[in-house]
Amino acid sequence: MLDEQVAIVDVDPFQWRRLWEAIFPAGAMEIYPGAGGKGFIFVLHDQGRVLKAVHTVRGRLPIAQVDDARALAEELAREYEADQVLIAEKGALQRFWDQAQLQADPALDWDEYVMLVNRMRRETEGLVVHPPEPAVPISPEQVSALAKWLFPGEGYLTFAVFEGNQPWTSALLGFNRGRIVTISTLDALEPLGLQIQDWRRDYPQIAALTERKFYRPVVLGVYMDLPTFQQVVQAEDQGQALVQAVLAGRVIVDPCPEQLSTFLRS
Amino acid sequence: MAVSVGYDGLYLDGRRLPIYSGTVHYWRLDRALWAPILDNVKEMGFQVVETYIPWSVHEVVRGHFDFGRRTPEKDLDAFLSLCEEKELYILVRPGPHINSELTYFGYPARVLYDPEVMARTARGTPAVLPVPPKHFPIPSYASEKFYQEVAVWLDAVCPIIARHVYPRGRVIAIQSDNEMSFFFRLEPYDLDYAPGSIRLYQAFLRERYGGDLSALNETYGTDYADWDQIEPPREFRGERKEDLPWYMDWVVYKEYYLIYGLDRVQQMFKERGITDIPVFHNYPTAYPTTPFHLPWTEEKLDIQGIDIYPHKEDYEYVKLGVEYTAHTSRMPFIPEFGSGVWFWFKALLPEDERFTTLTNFMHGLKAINYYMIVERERWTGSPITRDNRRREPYFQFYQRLNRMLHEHDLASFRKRSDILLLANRDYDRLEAAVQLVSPPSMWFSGLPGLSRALLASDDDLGLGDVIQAEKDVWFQTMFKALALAQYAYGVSEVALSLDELKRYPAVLVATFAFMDTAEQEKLVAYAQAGGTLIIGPRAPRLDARMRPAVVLGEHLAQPVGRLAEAVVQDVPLRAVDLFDEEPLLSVEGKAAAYVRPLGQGRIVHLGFLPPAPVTPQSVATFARLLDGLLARLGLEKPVTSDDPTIDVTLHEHEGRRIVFAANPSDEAKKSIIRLAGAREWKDLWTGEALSGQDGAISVAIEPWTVKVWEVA
Repeated sequence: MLDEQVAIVDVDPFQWRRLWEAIFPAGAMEIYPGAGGKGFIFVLHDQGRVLKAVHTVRGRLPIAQVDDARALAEELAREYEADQVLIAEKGALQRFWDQAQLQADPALDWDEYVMLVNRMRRETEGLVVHPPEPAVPISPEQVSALAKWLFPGEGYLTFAVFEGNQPWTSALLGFNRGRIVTISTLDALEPLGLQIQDWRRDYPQIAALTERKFYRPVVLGVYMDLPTFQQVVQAEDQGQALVQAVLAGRVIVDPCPEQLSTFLRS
Repeated sequence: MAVSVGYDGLYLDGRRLPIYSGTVHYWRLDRALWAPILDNVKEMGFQVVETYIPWSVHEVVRGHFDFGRRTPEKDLDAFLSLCEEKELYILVRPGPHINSELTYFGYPARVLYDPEVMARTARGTPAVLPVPPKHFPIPSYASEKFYQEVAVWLDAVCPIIARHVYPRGRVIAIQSDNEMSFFFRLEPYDLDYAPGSIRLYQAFLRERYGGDLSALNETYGTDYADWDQIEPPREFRGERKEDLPWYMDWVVYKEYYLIYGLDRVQQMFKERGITDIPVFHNYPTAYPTTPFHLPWTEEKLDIQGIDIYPHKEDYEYVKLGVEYTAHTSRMPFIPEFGSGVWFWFKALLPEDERFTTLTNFMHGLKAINYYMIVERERWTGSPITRDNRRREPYFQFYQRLNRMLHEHDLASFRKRSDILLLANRDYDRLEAAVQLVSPPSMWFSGLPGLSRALLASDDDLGLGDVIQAEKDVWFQTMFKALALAQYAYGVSEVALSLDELKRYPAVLVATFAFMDTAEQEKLVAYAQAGGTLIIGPRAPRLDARMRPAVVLGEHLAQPVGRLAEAVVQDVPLRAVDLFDEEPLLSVEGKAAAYVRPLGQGRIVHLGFLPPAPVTPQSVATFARLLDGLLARLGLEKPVTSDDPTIDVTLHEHEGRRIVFAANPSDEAKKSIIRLAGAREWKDLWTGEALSGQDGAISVAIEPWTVKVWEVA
């Protein structure tokens, strides 16, 4: 889905930061992780014999044996208060890492490789993460399939969220047969004279200028205000929340590909 | 050399040039915009720019390169000439590795996918770097085939660079490779087990043991008949201290491997005519413990720097890294400091850059390159966009910063550090050696991050203390407690030379059951020359090969007892040794810490472990205890704040004094800053003048703010 030569250009740092913070919880993906949170428990064992058991805040834990890793993970999380528990059998970790290296087929896109490794990890006996990862409303595989469905040829998705009439965050995504080939933001359109005074009235400028800038049609445009965006992002079922906001007219979808219109009508 | 290296900058024919530089990637910018963009760069106050030179971008097919004949933006010679016309000095980084968010990190894919070039894991698989937008196999810097390919690239690019080397042109320094770090896969038994690397390891051992195979056999308890029979460890299975040298030699080899690679690339530059300018390199981390080795690297290269991309919340991390490099490097330099970030990272805002940049100078940084000062693809948050617009909040910050740095010549000041806190590399190597598993960087796999401390064995291996765990508790506690106690201190490591150590009135270093003999002798010599050497908790009785070696121990008392825990001044000290000495710290009528004269100086032995785990509360109580001990030793506090969470530093130069104060928190704070003899305080950022009484001023410091005053 992510082209290996993807062009990522004119990314507004303020809009990018807001999008990042809306998507990732605090502390996620930090390169210099802080000491926040309740801590993390790691138990490494060799066929049941504990080699290491540690809580990142409280220190070493008095555990000598792992029999039922899942039950132990739940018990540790409860007893010692931790954000996350990982119980890993040494051989399982090693097998998983070896397989991850061997499966790095150059024909795979990066995101396909990531999905493969994640699946391998979930299927590796002996690696227990607690709490289990929450079910995502839409899996990476489904996102990829959706992109191919919406963008069978070349075209753009334009997306913007407004605070008042100021862009709060935005993304211009160029696709080619379902693959992302360009990532940008409204910053790219500024030199072309983008002027938003009333976003509900002026949003068509975004598609028009995107087509001028990147020489490709805009296939899908999605625009909303900040309260709606926050409501969608914070919803338990984000997909459902988005559809309801569209149907209620709080999200403008324009242009909207025929296949998506049909889906929304249904 | 026409360009030489000083602590405070590069010297061009003896004239000092402070290195405040910014990165511009010529090939990623419209050629027609090069000139106006460079004008904008100059308008921010920069005199130096930096650029990578990307192998994969210039290579058309193997041995054929486009340096502007096909694509005007690839005309390196023209870009360097234009910089010279604009009177900008230039730092160049021709790789071969450049990262630069390029797919395949600037290597041609054909090189990476050559099986003879690939690094190998402990189980013989290729080692993959799973970085977006494309994973790729990691190359081995011990592969001869790899260097044959690199030679083809350097044969093409070096003649162009050589034409612009100072004094013929304005290229004043060159970087060897980039962030050499096994591609961020730092764990000891992960890679590189490629055939070329095994041979290099065997040659390294031969050198390390002076060609004496029997010495190695004696150390390892083996009976190898030849060096090429020696196999490296592929996982840790040691059970006693005598098993350690085999593993620790592999850890040292991995330091050697990186330096070997850097030196080899550097020699290739020199063989191709680039001889008159310093060679530098950048670590991808602020605090470079094993497999990095800054002092050792600077025996080969001229400057070894650190890279940091911090948000404002990373204050402690920036402080530690900068303090370390300021007290360890020949020229304290950050070759890449975040001016914007790569696309898959949380963007840096102007408030991040303002706070962390000033934090650098507060803690003693002398030279910096802002990466990137001009935005380009796969990057966000630079002061100038790729179409030469200004991102005003960023632009104005750099303009103002450069004005302040130049007007007040901040590079000429030296941070005052009365106490030098040393990391003990032997123990960092031990921690690496006893890793129970060596995971590659698989952050995307859904597993939580697994730090080295998490993966280290908890076995003391017969050394008395679990050194690999306790050394971190000791160092972190001291680092934070010295700050709270408001002493003027810096950070380095035991590999620092004796001459450098002698600059500091006091040196503080953890010592456990073993320690390299030469390092012990150096510390003794430091004390004998008049220094205050503060060590603890133990007197080493073994060298790093686990042979008896009592050097420091000759000058220390033997313990007469041991308490598992002793609460002193509300501090739960652990594993407390007791001595029949005049107590510096008394526990149950005995000394838990004592002082002995040594030559013209003295040795102070703190015979206990600090509280664990390290928490804000444990550090706060320990800081009070430490403060009392250091006061009894007569150590001074040149500058203080009445609020210990306001960090303060003092910088001096020929009678002039500059004070920095940082508020690394979300709350505005009021503080009384005190400096003996200070009357007039001039804020170098705002120009505001304050008058102090009795050497003190009362100031309000906004959240995430560093204040800078020149004090008279």
